[in-house]
Order: sequence, then C-alpha cells, then structure tokens
Amino acid sequence: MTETGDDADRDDTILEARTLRKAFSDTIAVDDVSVSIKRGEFFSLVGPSGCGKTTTLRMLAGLTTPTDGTVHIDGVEITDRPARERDTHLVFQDLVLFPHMSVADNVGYGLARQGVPADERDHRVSALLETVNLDGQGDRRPTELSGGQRQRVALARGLAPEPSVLLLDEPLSSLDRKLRQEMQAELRRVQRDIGTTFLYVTHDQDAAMSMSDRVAVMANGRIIESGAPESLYDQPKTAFVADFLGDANILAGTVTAVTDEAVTVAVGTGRIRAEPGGRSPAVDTRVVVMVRPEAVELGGGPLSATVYASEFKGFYDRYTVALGNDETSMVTVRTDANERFTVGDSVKMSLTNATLVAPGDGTTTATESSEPTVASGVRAGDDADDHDRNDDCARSQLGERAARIRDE
Amino acid sequence: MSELSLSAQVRSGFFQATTVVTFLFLYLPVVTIVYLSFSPGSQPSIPLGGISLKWYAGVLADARFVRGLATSAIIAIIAATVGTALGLLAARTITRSHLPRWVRSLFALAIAVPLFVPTVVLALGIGVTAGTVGIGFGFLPVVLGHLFWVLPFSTFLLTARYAELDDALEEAARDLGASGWTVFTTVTLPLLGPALVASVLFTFALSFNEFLITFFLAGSGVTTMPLELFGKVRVSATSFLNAASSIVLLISAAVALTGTYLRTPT
Amino acid sequence: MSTAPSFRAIFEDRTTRDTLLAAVPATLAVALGVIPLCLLLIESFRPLVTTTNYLDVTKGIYVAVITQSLFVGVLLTVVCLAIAYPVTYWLANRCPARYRLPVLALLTLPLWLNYVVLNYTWVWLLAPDGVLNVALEWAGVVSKPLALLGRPFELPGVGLTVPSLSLLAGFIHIYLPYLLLTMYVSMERLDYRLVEAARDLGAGDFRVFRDVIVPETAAGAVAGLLIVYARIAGAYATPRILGSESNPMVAELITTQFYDVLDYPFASALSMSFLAIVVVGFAVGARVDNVQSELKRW
Repeated sequence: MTETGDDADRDDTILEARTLRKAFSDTIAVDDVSVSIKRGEFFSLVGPSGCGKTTTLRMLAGLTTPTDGTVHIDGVEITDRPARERDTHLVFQDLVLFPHMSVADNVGYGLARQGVPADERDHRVSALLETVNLDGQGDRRPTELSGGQRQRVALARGLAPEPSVLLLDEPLSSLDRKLRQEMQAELRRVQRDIGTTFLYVTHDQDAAMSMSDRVAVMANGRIIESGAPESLYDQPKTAFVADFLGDANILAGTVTAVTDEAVTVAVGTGRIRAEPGGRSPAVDTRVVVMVRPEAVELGGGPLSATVYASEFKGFYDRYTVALGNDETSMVTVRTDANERFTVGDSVKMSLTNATLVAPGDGTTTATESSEPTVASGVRAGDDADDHDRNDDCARSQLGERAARIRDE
Repeated sequence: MSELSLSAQVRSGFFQATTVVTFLFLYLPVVTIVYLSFSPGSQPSIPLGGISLKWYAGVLADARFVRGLATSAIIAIIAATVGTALGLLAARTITRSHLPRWVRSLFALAIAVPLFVPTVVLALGIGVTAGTVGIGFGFLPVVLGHLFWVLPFSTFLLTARYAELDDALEEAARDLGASGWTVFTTVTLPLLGPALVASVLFTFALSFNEFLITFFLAGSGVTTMPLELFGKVRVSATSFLNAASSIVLLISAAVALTGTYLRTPT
Repeated sequence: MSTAPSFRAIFEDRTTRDTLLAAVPATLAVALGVIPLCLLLIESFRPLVTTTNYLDVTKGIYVAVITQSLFVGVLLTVVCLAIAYPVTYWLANRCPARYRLPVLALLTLPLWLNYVVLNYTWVWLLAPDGVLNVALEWAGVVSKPLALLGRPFELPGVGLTVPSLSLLAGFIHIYLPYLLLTMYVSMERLDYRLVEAARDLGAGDFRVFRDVIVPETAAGAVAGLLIVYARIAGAYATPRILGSESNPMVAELITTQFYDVLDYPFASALSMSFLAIVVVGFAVGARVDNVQSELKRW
C-alpha cells in the first residue's frame, strides 16, 4: 500500500507483531511470525488448517501469552497487557454472543465496560445496529436471530467500543455459501464505512482475496509470503502460495538457458519460457515452474502434449494433458476456446505466463537442485469454483484450543 | 400403524402395573399418615371418626419439638446459602481454575468424600475429632457438619452446569474490557442462575432432613427436628408423630415441588 | 515504585487467586472429612500403637454383623434394581413424553423427604394394631395380628438373615428413588431401536433383556448400586426403627461404642474395618467398563 499524505515519515502502522512465537508442550503453533498492519486496512491472514492463525490472533488479542516476541499498537508495546486493557477486540469463530442478554446489551457490553453513560450507549448502539442492517432488533435475544443476523451482532459488538484494530477469527465459517458471500460483502462495506482496521483470519482464500487490501499466507506457524492479493496471485514466490491461492500447475524441470528476461526450462520433452521471478538459477539446475491453468492455450504453440482427460464445465473446458506425452508431467488447462479436444488427441500448447517459484513453502534447502515438494497440480474432481479446502481446520482449532487449556 | 402383539401388550401391562404399584408403595403410607393426623381420637382408625386438629395443636405446643423445628430450619437456611456459595467456589475451582489437573482431581475427591464414605463412619470421625480436639458439640459443630454434608451435592450440581457453559463467553467478556469480578457478575452468575436456585433448594432439604451427623454432634444443648422425631418414634408416640410427620412432609414437599418446578430438565 | 505488591495485584495473579478461592471449600472438606478419617485411623491403633482393637473386631459378633450388614446392602440393592428396571423401562419407552418428567419427579420426591418420617410410616402400617393388620383382620384373612415388625428370617446354613418385612419396606422406600433416578438416565439413553432390531431377529423377551437391555444399562445400574449399597449397609436410623433388636446392623454397634461404651479406639477400628470392606466393594465395582464415566455424571 502506498503511503498517503504529505508527511512521508508518518508511520501508519497500527498493529505490529514482531517475531511472535508460541510453543505448547508438544507442538510449536506459531514460529517466528512478524506482521505489520496499516491503519484502516483490511488485512487477511490465510493458511491451511493447524498452521497457527488462530493462535496468532489470540496472542494479538491478549488471550494467549506468547512464548516469545512482542506485540505493539500504535508504536506502544502491549505484550504484557491482558486482553481487557488492549485496544483490540476479537470476533470469535463461533461468535460467543451472551445468550442471556439482548442484542442491544451484547453490542453495548464493551461500551458499558468503558464507563460510557447509558444514554450515550443507547445512542451509539442503535446507530451501529443501523450500520450493520440490524435496525430495530435491539431487544431481541441472540437465540431468536438467524445465522447472518447473529454474525452482524458479533461484528457490531466488536466495533462498538471503537477499537484500534478489530480481530476476526473466521467468523463466516459456519454459514452456508450464499450467506457467506453476502456477509463478505457486508464486512467489506462496513469496514470501509467505519474505517476500522480489520485483521481477518481464515482458511478460505476466496474470502481473503476478495475482501482484503493485503494478504499474508501462513503455514506451519510461519508466514510464507505477504502482499496485495493480485501480486500474490500473479507473482507468487513459492509453489505453496501459488497452489494455495488458486489452481496451479507445478512442474519440475531443468534449466537450459538463462537471460535477464526469461529462463528456459526443459520439462518433459518440451521447453518452457518462464519469468525468473527474482531467481537466478544456473544452467542444468533443477527448478520449479508454476503455470496457471488459464495461462495455457491449446491448439497451437511450441509445446506438444497429449490429452489425458477432459471436462466440460459450461463456460469453460478443463483438460488434463500430459506434457510431451510424459505422464509424470500433467498440466491442468482451462480454456474457453471453441475447439474441443478428446482424450488421446495430440495437441499443440503455448503458455502465456509461467514463472519460477521456490519449491514447497520456500523453507526447503536453498539450492535450486532440490526436488519440488509439491505434487503436480492435478487434483481429481477438484472444482475450481469451490476453494474450501480445509474441513479439518475446525479439528485443528479444537486441538489448539485443547492444548491451550492444558498449558495455559 | 403397528399393533402391539398380545405378548407385547402383556409386557407393557406388566411394566405399567409395576409402576403403579411402585407409586402406591411410595405414597400410600405417606398419604395414610397425613390422613390419620386429623384423627380426633388417640387411636387413629380408618375411616376417621371426625376431623380434628388437636394433634397439630399438641405438636405446636411441644416446646422442645418446636425448638427442634426452628433449629432445623435455621441450620438448613445457613447450609443452603453458605453451602451453595462454597459449592460455587468449588465448582469454579474444578472447571475453570488453572491449577494443575492433579490438584483439581484431588480437590474434587476430597469434596466427594461424603458421597461414598458411609455416613456412620463420617459421623463417628467428626464426633471423635470434636471430642478429642476439643471443639466439642453444639450448634456450631452441627452447622459445620451440615455444610460438610451438603458441599458435594451443591458442588457437583454446579459443576455440571458450569461445564456446560462455553468458557469462550468469559473470554469474550474479558476481551471487551471486563475485570474478573465483572465477568463473574455479568456473565457467569446470570447463566448459572437456575442451577444456583436448584442447589439452594436441594441443599435446604438435605440439611433439614439430616439425622446421623447431627446425632453425633448435637450434644445436649441442641436439638433438631429429625432428632426429635427419632426420639418420639422410639417411644411410639403415634398420634403426635402423625401430625408432626405431616408438618415436616409439608415443608419438604413444598421445597421439593418448588425445586422441581424451577429446574429445567437436562 | 513500591516494592510491596498491592492487594489488588495479589488478587490479579491467577494462581494465587485460584488457590485462595479453592481454599475455603477445601478447608471444610479436609477438616471435616479427610482429617477425621485419618484421626479415626490413628485412634483405631490406640493405646500407643497396637492392633488389639482390630483383633477384638474379629472376636464376637462383629464380623458376623458386618457381613450381615453388607449382605443386607447388596440384597436390598438387587431388589431395588429389580423394581427399577421395569419402572424406568416403562417410563423411558412407554410413558407418553409429556408425562415423563413429572412422573419421574413424583417418583423421586421421597429423596427430598425426611427418612425418619418415612420409616415411621411403615411402623404405623405394620404394627400389630396398624392399618395392615386391622385391614387383614377386618377382611377375615387372619384371626390375630401378624407380627410383621422386626421379624427377620434366618437363612439356614449361611449364617445370614433376610431382613424382616418392615425393614425391607423401609429400605426400599428410602433407596428405591435413588436407583430410579440413575436407572432412568441410563434407560433414556438406550436406543430403543436396538430392542426392535433384536425382536426383528427373533429374540424373545428374556433374550432382549439379557442381550440388549442389561448391557446397555449396566453402567447406570452399577453406578446406582455403588451409590446405594454402602448407604444401606451403614444405615443407622432405619434398622433401629424397623429392624429387630436381636439382629443389629453395624452402624448401631459403632454408635453404641461411641455413646455408651465410650471406647473410641474400638469404635474406630470397627468403622475402619467396615469402611475397608466397603471400599473394596467400590474398587471391584468401579472396574466395570463405563462405570467411571457414569459416575462422573454424578
């Protein structure tokens, strides 16, 4: 994000975590995480199950004590402060609305703790309820509301005390898909209207990519990459991030030629021209190339392949082709070309965009000659429209929670 | 629609009959006593010769018995309120505290002692302790004995409810700025409400009816209703007992029905 | 900066706070439970350190009384279970749903009532001039009153006695509700479709009972059994009121030693012996599968 304003030295970082670490007795949930979140931005932390996202969030909220590292808000270190003294609020995954209080009392709870007098409280609560489209629902109980309405109460409750940062822990995961998409739009709208900084944690990269100003991808307790959604998608630095944020073909090959603009890689019996992606490998080393399915064109080009499988998806066709008839180099292709191919056809192929990436999550041995740790991007039956990959995310969160109760 | 076969009907009839007989067994004696307490003559008979309240008057005129009744009521109120409060502390310790697991288990075990050690052994233990250590017998020892007796009941009743509460609720309250005490008063206590009421009522009944521990601890200066009743039973004071029993049953039943009515079925 | 922590700061420390809050109930439980039991144990070896008291326990009638008491406890528990099974089965599976909890509440109401009163009602009913005898005489069934109070039946050869009708009735009246409660919880969780499946595969009533119902409800039955058998074995008031003088139970002996004979060491040894056997019974019973989880619910 570019800095705005005349004062270029003004630091608009509102929330910062430095080298946060959390070790439980048998696992390391968070291992050296540092993030810097800017005032007013919508920042998402994405990653597969069990990678430490919720634990990180809880450390920022003050509900879990870090084993190591520090947390800062607006330049002030708050690592030792308990949750109730921090200017952050947490929207829990299962919302955790107070069942014995009305909607209005729920939303006004934080204000009451701040000592805001009743009149002003009522005023602010009803204004906020209006903003989240819950006008007039103040007297109802949470149990009387629908899932989407309860979400909004939880959101309003966190926003009412006007925190510096609102922390959201996968609040939409219990909603069905349509409702989830509606709520995503709601969240974004509210965030823009009110201007509070949002830190959103999720395993759903669809949500993260569509709502956020910036995204950080996390795995195994570490942040792999972070940046604006478009740049992470178009120019990922690691195979892991490429694969996590969308469909990706990950191919292993050997470098045959290197120039400033491109690296030629021999994959199977063909040759691919790939962007260097910031890497400078030597000739004859093993590298990993990432190609998005939509960046492949069939029907002409320098590469040859054999069609292995085909799926008609309506507005696009999806093919799995063996590059150079080599069954170890499968490539998923998405194309809306008029021409249809059948299994067994030999086709010509060209790539509009390919880039070199680090194998795995970038933490495997640094030499280019290491084998890629991510399999080629074929997943049988994977529907590109449904990116919910992690049914076991909830399980791992239970595990994190159990570990927390054990060791806290 | 499935018809029950003949054997199924017989079976069903048998079960129902057993239930009815059980009901009669449990309630006929009680109902009979209450019925007979209105007898005008000193020898109750069925059917009653008339209706008279003279035995009730006799009971209320018996200063010793009335004193016992009052003492039992006072002790029961103390046991119910203090016992529930202590049970709340214990329940919180078992479910929410951050003490090591082994400490909590040991704690729960100590609290549960009255549940599995036969009362006579407990009573003897407390009695011997009171005698040798020099605490003596009397009102305060009896109150302490009752508190000890009701503690596991209130604790485990509240523990069951506490365990049902999502501990994330307390976290959410803390996150929104509440101190430990405020979390307790605004979130925990309201949600525990029904269980607290149930605990107060049940521990009242337990203490009101407690006999054996009181028997060992009362000494000469203190008497309670169960002790008085026991004495009267030993001398077969029938007519007195019919009326006295009815009074006691009335009190207990009132507490019981309030408790059952208020308690949400789990 | 002050060096002494403020009171508030002490209370803020989680461990201190937890310990302080736990201390009050813990003190009560330990001071009146654990410590007296330890004192009893010590007392049972007085004077000095001697086992004479325990040796005395083995003499005379004491062992026989303890055995008899345990027998009564187990017998009564089995009888109550036998009654509780059909009643709770009916309640859980045949009773219309909206009556279930009210009926259960009524069946367990005696738990709230005074057991001396409950015992007394049976004295009244079974006395020679009591309701039952009067009714039997009036109906011409008997010519003179039956002595039902306190007439136990000797079991030949075993040295054990079946308690008298009055004592049986008294115990059942007090303790049946406990078992109704524990058995109901178990019965309610029984999936009735298991019974239907067994019937469908040709099982008769007895088979259904043995193969489906008993295993599924065993945990609840054993839990109830453990809660109740020790209480019955150690009962004082009920056998005093409804039992016979010639057939005392162990609680009466212990009380006599405490109040009349004032032999504290012997009383302690007697009660410790009794407790030991009771605990052995617990240990044996608790090893049954699922009983642990069942007990935790209580």
